[in-house]
Amino acid sequence: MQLVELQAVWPTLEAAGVALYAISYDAVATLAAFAEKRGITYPLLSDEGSRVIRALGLLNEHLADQHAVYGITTREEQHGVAYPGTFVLDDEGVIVAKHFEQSYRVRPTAALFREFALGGHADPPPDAPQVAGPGVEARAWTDAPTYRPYQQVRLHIRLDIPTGSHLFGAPAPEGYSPLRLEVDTLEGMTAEPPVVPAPHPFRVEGLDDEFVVHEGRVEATIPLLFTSNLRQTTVRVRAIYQACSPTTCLPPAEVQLAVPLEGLDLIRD
Amino acid sequence: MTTSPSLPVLDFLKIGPSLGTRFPDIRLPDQTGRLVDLHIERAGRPALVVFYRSARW
Repeated sequence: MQLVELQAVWPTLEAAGVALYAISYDAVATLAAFAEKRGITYPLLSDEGSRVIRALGLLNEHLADQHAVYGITTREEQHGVAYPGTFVLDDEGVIVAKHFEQSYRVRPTAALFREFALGGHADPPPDAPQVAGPGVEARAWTDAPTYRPYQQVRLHIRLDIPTGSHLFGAPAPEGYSPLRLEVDTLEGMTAEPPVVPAPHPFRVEGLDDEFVVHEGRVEATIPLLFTSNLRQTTVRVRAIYQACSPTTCLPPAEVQLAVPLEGLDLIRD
Repeated sequence: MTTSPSLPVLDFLKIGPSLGTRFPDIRLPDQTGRLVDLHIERAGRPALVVFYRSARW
């Protein structure tokens, strides 16, 4: 499945001058058949016998344990599989990032591979839901409008705070509410803790206490994992916050965004 | 999906080639049978090297 996701992002990587190699313990004939069936045009390298996987220390020695947790038996031909993950190399070939997952079942999307290679945040699609609350404008969107079970899909939340205003970060001063992002629970979906940029120190002229705030544009993400195909669904995210202008602090407020998503079936290969 | 206590949590920073080191020299055939030397083929480009489970299962 992630080979198909990689194919989706390959033209972008190629145009940006980034090379791409996908490595597994499959035989050349297996890779040739797969490339033909799925239209894969980047190099699929064959480490039949897992010599390189072993030499690099990437042999998955916990496959049987992982399978036991999922209640399945490991077949003989499954030995020799690598831990799934991505190395990001700079132009000198030096490893500048490693992205690995605890479970081989969790797989990155094309958007995430794009970000591994090119960095930065993708912009929201034009139809991304948006809402204005007291002292804040918010938008939310996902890496893609579709997901497949066990894909790692990120929910992006962008908060725009007018110049001169701020939101309290955590910990907030006594009696004030720090920014909090919450996703409504859905059966068949797990939301990991939000990844929010660190707030920065802020001091009010003439006051002793210093606190932390968010200003300008806040780009947060919440990794989502769907463990089943929920078909058409809506992910609801809430931002709970308290905004202050240079002169006044508004009461604590909440904005809610509903992001539609469509589930696709799991591709096993 | 919840992580079962029987499933070890792996520290991937310690597994495989380390951050800040040059990725090892590897030579493997691609899907056409052509032998690819990763660093020669890269030809000075940055790269993603993706290890995945299998194209079969």
